[in-house]
Amino acid sequence: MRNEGSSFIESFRRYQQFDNWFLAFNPLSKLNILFVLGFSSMLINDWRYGFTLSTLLCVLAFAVNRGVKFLKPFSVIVLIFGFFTLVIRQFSVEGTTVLFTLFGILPVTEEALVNGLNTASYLLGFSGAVILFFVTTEMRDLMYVLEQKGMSHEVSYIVLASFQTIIDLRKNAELIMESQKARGIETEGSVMNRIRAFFPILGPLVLGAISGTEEKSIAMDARAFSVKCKHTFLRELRPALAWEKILTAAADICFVLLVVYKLVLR
Amino acid sequence: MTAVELKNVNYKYPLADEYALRDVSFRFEEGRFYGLIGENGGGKTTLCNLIRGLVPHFYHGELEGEARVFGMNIKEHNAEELAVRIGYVFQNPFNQMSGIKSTVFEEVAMGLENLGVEKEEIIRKVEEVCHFLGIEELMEKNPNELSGGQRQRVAFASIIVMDNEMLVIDEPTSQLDPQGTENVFEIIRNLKEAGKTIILVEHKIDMIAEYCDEIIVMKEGKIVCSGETQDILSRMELLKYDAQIPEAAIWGHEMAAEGMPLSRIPITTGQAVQYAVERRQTDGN
Amino acid sequence: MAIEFKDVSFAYPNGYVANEHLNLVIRDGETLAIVGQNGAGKTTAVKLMNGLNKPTCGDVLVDGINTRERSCAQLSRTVGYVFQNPDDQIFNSTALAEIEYMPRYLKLSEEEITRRCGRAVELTGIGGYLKMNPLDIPYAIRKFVAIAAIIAIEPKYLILDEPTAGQDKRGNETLERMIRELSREGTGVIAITHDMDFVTRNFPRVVAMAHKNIIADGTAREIFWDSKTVGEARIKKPQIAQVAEGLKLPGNILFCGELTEAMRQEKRSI
Repeated sequence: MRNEGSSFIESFRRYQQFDNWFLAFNPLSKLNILFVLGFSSMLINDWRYGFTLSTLLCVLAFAVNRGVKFLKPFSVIVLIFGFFTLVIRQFSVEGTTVLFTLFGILPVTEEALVNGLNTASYLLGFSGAVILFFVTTEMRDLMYVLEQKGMSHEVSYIVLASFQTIIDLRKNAELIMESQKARGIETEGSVMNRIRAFFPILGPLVLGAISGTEEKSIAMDARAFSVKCKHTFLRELRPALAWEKILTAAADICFVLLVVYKLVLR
Repeated sequence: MTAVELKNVNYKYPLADEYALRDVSFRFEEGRFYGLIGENGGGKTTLCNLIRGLVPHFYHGELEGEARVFGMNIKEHNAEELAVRIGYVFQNPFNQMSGIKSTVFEEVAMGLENLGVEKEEIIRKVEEVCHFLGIEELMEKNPNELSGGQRQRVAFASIIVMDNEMLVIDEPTSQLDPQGTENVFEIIRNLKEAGKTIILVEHKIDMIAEYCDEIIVMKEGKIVCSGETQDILSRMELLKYDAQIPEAAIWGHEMAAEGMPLSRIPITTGQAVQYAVERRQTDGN
Repeated sequence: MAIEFKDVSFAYPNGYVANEHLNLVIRDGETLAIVGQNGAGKTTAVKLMNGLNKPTCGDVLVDGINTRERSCAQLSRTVGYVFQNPDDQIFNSTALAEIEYMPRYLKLSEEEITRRCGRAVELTGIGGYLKMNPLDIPYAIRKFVAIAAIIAIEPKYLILDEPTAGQDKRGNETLERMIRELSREGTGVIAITHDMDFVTRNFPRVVAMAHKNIIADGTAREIFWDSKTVGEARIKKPQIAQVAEGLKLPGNILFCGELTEAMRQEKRSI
């Protein structure tokens, strides 16, 4: 039994390996650092800081082989929120120095522009940090670390199962769409068709999700889920390294100082 | 030793009009393999829910009469403890995957993790069970992307790896092909030989005839007859209870009706051949 | 008029080939069963019949029309397909509403709707459940509600995907009666099933599939008595045939009556 499957099975005997230092970074510490960076962007509220941070985060994403995954949601944020905010601010903020006029009607003032850029940049900085976290960390690893810290495994289950439920919903929707098509309900083409197909798809989808939960909890019960004893873990992560802890502590200290500085400055 | 003892049990699900179990009395002995058959809606699944403790701990409703599992009244049992002592596999494979593990290996291991078993032990047991059930090639796959039949086998593996004393299995082969069905029954037989008490709900009467020790027939919430497999499955009267009897037994009755009775009514194809050969020999003499 | 497969192969978008070189002709009103182990390609093959899957090579013609030229919804009026899991299809609040849904969607007259639904209910025997919410109906009977809903469309060909799974004796009897009646009325019935005894009793024609191909196509007697086919498709001989084999009786026996008769002949000849 110890030939092909064995390297896969062997992997459980050691701590889990990752492709690079960033992916292997302790999830909780990573969360801490990235959130601190994200919040710092909001506190500093300066477009120079915000855009530099966003760019650095983007570069980091590519450096750890998650560039494409990062850019997909990030570019949506840039386009919709970033750009949108910039334009909206031109309406809401009063300014005196007009730089140019957009479409011949909207005056773009220096004050409004800077304000807009600041806001847009902190949105980008914050969301960039959050997105980077989620594309470089698996939820199950975060849950593992939280459970080590004492979080109940019920919470862990709920979070992880929710992610799977969303994926399942999409798959089920496709399956249901197929079976309604097979019945003669047009699901493609005109808008009218799609609207008529809505309930035939939504109905079984929702009902399926609800009726499934009862059986699922019975199934989990059968796997000793509710038994009150210490759990073991097949899949383990190495404890946080010294330098990771130091870096996290440093980030936290800087953040606290920043908050204090901002408060004092008021 | 008695594993489960039921005396005059009546049960109604909450908000139901009809009783799901009526005056049910039965004793399940340890180490025996029971086949539970009968029409759909006849109470088989409810009986399983009762033995397993889901009635009354999960499904509330009105439970009358006495139900004792492992010597203790079911109402006094700790629900979690029962879950561990009694393994449960049910029909729908899609609702038995946890949804939180990315590989079949981890999925099967989950129950053992919850029980706090040592990692090396977990690895050994999971490997063994996967080999047993022929799902080794599935070990690295995502359980959420498997077909119904594959999930059924993984769900089965995930329970038997926990080595429970008693197993309640509700139609585990509904999505499997003949080979897969054969495989599952073989494993159940091995489990019985290892001393476990097995209660199996199935419609595949030819498989039940081959493997079970005792048969219980249910209709409309009542146990209408029960006894040794050889005896029960050879009776034509089962047909009036809307239960099936094996083809071999139907043939045995036909032979008798046509004036060529076999020494006994066969219930498996093996027996049919054996008794027919014996008949040939007596005819020849 | 027929469903024709002309050297059809089908692969999923991800590249996995599910069917290779299928050649098959199903004529108007034929009743056939498709058997074979899980993974042989049975479901993907039948999905090619109603246009849910479009062939990657070769052509599927339904009554002369290439399935590539029609949407699945259009083809469904000729080829009805009942999925294995009724819960993927049922969404109305009563069983009756479920059955009436498609006739109403097709904007048929009230008279026609009543007639069709009445027929569907009679064929599936679910008269007592019409006003109930499908979720309150036992699973095995829900399968019949789904079948009734498709019968109400009155397709020329009806595909049943594992109708026998989880059915009890009464359920199987209802299915048998339904298939016989549909057949008599000229509807083609194509069923995927693992129940070999059910196949023997109800299907004059059997198509055996294995590893993405059709490996045999003939009468139940021909298929089940061909050891090579039975082995390759990983199916089981029906029980009476197993007994006949064990007794080395001639005649490729499939039914109880034949077996008894053969025993009688044997006795006479002694």
